[in-house]
Amino acid sequence: MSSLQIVVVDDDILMTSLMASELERAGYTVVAVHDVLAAFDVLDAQTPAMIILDLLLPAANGVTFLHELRSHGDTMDIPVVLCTTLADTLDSEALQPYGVAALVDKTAMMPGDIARAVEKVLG
Amino acid sequence: MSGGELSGSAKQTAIAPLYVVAHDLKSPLALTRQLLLVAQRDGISDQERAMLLRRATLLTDRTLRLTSDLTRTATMTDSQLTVEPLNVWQLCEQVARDARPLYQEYGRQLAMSRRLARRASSLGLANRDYLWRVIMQLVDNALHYGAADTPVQISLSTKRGSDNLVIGVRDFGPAMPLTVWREICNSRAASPANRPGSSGLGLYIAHEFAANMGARLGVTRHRDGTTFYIELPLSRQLALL
Repeated sequence: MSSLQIVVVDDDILMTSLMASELERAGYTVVAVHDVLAAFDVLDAQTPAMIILDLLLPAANGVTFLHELRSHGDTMDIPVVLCTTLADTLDSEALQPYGVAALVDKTAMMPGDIARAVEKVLG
Repeated sequence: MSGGELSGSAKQTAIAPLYVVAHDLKSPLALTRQLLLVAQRDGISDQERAMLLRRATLLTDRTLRLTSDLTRTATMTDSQLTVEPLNVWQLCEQVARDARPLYQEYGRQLAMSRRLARRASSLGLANRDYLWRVIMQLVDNALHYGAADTPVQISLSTKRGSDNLVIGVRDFGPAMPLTVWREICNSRAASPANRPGSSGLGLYIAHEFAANMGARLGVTRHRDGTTFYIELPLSRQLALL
């Protein structure tokens, strides 16, 4: 059985690499991209089980990405886990209409938290 | 392609909100913390642990550089810094040597190029310590904003029709949105809402240091990236010989 695919969108290569390792250890297949345009290139080709999204990205930011994601029938149901240093300033309930299923605080997370958040959302 | 000089009004607009400063420090600290947490985990190889610790050290150096430079901007008086004739090309090479270890960890290349007018030298008038800091902030900024697998180029050239040297730091990646570019040109890049991914703190620091030694900081927007540049006067010392 093939493993579920997770797309990680984060502009920091080292952070992406850490998250990808965690998710791969938990048995997921990971595609890592570093900006919104690259993320849409991936989504044009495949539909992942989930997207891990940073909010502050170069050029178009994570909010723009969420708006775009919800605007298309083939991507609107992909759950998103927001992983950001701005988590303490965000209201997770207010994010639900954007398809944000979970919010992870990048400044406080422990190794394994990101995989646990994915497992919780995917059930 | 479009370009512009960063406005001198930055001091009033850019640094005031403390949350802006805190925001720019959060990201590298959060990453350093993750690296150290993973390094403490059982079952990882010595080689992997050494890599994680090396990355954490380099990121800490970068964060300390940011805080140290920020402290200097806060304590800097309005009087201009002492400038001296110095070999700007050699200084660029020094910055490249100092920045390469972190670039290597990110899998990025730092290239250099020099295109000077005939008979022009690489001697410019600047404060050595502060010019190093300005170029390093621009190089740090380019590492963050350039696309993965693309190089960053440090260039030295003479400005056509003037007696100025131009040091450019060019990144390649998604084009900077026009609105963001205009904000940066107006030196109002201090709000996270204005500059995706960052508050522009490094650019603010570079602007302040440049202005205090009589140099200019500017930005050129390309279709595939951005060049931030510092323009400073050529030294005519050799012409006297």
